[in-house]
Amino acid sequence: MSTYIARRLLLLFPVLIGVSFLVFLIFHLTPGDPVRSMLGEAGQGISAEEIEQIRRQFGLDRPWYVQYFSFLLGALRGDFGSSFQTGRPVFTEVASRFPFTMRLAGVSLLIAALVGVPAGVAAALRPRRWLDLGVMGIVLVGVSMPVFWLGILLMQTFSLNLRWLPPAGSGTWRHMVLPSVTIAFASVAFIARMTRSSLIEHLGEDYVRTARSKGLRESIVVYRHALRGAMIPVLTTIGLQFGHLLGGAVVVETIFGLPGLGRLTVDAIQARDLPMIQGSVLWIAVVFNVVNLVVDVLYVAIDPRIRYR
Amino acid sequence: MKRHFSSVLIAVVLIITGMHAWASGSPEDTLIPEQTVTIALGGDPSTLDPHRSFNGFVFTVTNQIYETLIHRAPGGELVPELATDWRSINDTTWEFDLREGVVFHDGTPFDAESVRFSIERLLAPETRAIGSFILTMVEEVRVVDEYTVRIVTDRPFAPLPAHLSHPVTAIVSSTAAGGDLGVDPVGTGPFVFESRSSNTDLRLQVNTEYWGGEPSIQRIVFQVVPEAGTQIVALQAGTIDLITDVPPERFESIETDPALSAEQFLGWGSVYLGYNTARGPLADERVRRAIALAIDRRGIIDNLREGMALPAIGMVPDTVFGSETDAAAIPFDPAEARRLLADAGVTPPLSLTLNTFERAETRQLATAIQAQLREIGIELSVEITDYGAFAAATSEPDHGLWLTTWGTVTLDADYTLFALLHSGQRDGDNRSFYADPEVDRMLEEARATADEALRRGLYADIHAAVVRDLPYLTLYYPLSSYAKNDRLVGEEYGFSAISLDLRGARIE
Repeated sequence: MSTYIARRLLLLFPVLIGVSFLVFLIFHLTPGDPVRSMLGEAGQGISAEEIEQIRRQFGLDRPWYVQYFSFLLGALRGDFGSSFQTGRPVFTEVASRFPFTMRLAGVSLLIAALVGVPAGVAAALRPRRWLDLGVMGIVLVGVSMPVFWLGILLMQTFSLNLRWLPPAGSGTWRHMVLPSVTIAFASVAFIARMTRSSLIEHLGEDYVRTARSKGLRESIVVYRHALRGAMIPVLTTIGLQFGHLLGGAVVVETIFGLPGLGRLTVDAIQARDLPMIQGSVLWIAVVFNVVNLVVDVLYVAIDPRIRYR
Repeated sequence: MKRHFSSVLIAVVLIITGMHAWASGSPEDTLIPEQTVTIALGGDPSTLDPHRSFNGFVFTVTNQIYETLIHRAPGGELVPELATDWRSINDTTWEFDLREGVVFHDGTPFDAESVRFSIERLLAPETRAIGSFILTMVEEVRVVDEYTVRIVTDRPFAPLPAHLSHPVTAIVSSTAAGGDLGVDPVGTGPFVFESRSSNTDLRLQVNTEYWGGEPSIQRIVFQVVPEAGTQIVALQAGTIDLITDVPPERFESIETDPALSAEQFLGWGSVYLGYNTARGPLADERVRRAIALAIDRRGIIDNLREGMALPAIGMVPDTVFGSETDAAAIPFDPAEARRLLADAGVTPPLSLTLNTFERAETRQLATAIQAQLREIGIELSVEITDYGAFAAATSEPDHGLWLTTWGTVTLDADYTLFALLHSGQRDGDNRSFYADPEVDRMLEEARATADEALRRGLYADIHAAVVRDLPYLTLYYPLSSYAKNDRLVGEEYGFSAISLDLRGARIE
């Protein structure tokens, strides 16, 4: 087991090098001058020589492979460079925003799992009855509704009409409610669907029939036996949903004005802040990989038939 | 199981109602205390070091903390700030008398050394100052005595005082600059940096030692809210007191809210259409004029901008020094446009490209222009990209038309006209590749003389040349706007959020 985890962690390195190279490639293939983009409309009135000077200062005048290898060498020593915008180390900036996004994604995942799994179970136990149809109907709405639209709807209702919750900002738990619910909504739908179909499938398996014929109570059959087996694909979904949640955080952090990693990334891309884009994308890649590793390890705890070597 | 589900449902209902009770039970923790003003910022200020940025969000904050030698008053005139008086000694030397008895927030006294230090810091390559171009003409800063300083330029440069009112030229504490001003900003301004919590709320508190007297506002909270829609909800919900750049379609809904008010005013911006005068069909002045005649600029202002813009003749709005012109406006006359095209030997359809960058305003405009030019037999292919790609595309020698917004941030016509019209700027912003020896001469003379009447005359002549040769067609001057909760009174807004002056403001 520990060799498995070590191997997975080692595999992370080629993944990260690949990710950083892709980011770098996309940055350099994007049409347009990075310095002009960085300045945007504010840089109007600036002369060509002054643009050249800025390019030199940021090291963007060097050939692309020199830029990439100097980044790689720095990264291997733990130095991810300094943001073009702020001049401060990228690592510090990303690390300061990361806990916020993790909290947001974590709370959302918790909401999604706590609502999605019971809803899926409820639907699976009464397939094609009103409860099932109701849950699946809501699920369909959840999957179809764009995150930003749901966010605006919730904000209009709870901040403007009811005035229960603040529309923007962060700091207290009340600021977290609307964003977490917004992000969680689509994931609730996915998790509920997956729970329902997986549980229905498992309820028809031989071992469930055996359990029933032993005379076990229905609730024990469902929760101890069928649900346990049915949880594997659900867990996979939850792990993958974490990626969606991080993605949703990008939109939600912008709508609700939250200071997370998602917005940092968006701002960095808009400002063509290459070191910052690299840093935040790499960080997200690490988190995503680690979460999925945790999910894979959890399989063992749930399903004794699974072994890793 | 039905029972289980209903208990979950009950639990959810209980949680929500409990939340409601909690929320309505303790409103104190969100009620903003007296004399605190909360301002929405559309983006994160990446730094609080005014020398290391050229970004409006940064300047909106730094301008409360730092001050410049000269202040641009809301009426447009240049008035004393850290400099009490200034004069031109000769063609290339300006002398500034400095305000005495001013101290930085860290206790460092303000004097001629502070000015020398700040300007040299802005210009030093190590600072990596993106906005240093505002002062690249400065050759030397000479300390004459404790409260007198002379600035020597490498060429005669009349707009220097206007440039010294730009927020990037802020005077910083040399003591604090040893640390990181981006995180711990120290200036002489009416508000002192207090805290920045996890990058969202940025708090300033009043400078009790402010040389102009302690302001009534005790605290400014800047809340970063990127979405315009969210900003408006927050304004209506009362959690934010002031927002900038109200979208035209939301203006009325704010104005009719009894607790809120919205203002619109002429800023420093213009929106123009550029022509490549060097190559292709647009090199013919008649084709350029035909396009100008075919665009219904009044209709664009009334319908697309919902009246939130003013018609233009020259290239800079009336708020800018040197905006005057005697030239007549180009009318909307599609018939005359078709005749001119025929004159120029153009057989429709004529295919041209129009480059612009991604934004709601430019996208709508590009579509409208495309439709209007189709009426006179011009087929526009519109290319909307991000700003960097747009800037790259328009610097190509064979590009066609382009559409952009522009700000004359120094409020002196030199800033815009020199950059857009001088033949030496063809690698820079002169993307029309316009080159006229007489206009070049006038631009140089207007920059070199301190005689205001002479400068105004020269800029009027330059504007006349622009209307004659049409390297650019200014579509309109957009109106800037802001909206506030009526609790806030006495604020002076100036030309943009950057120039927001809260020194005389208070919460009622």
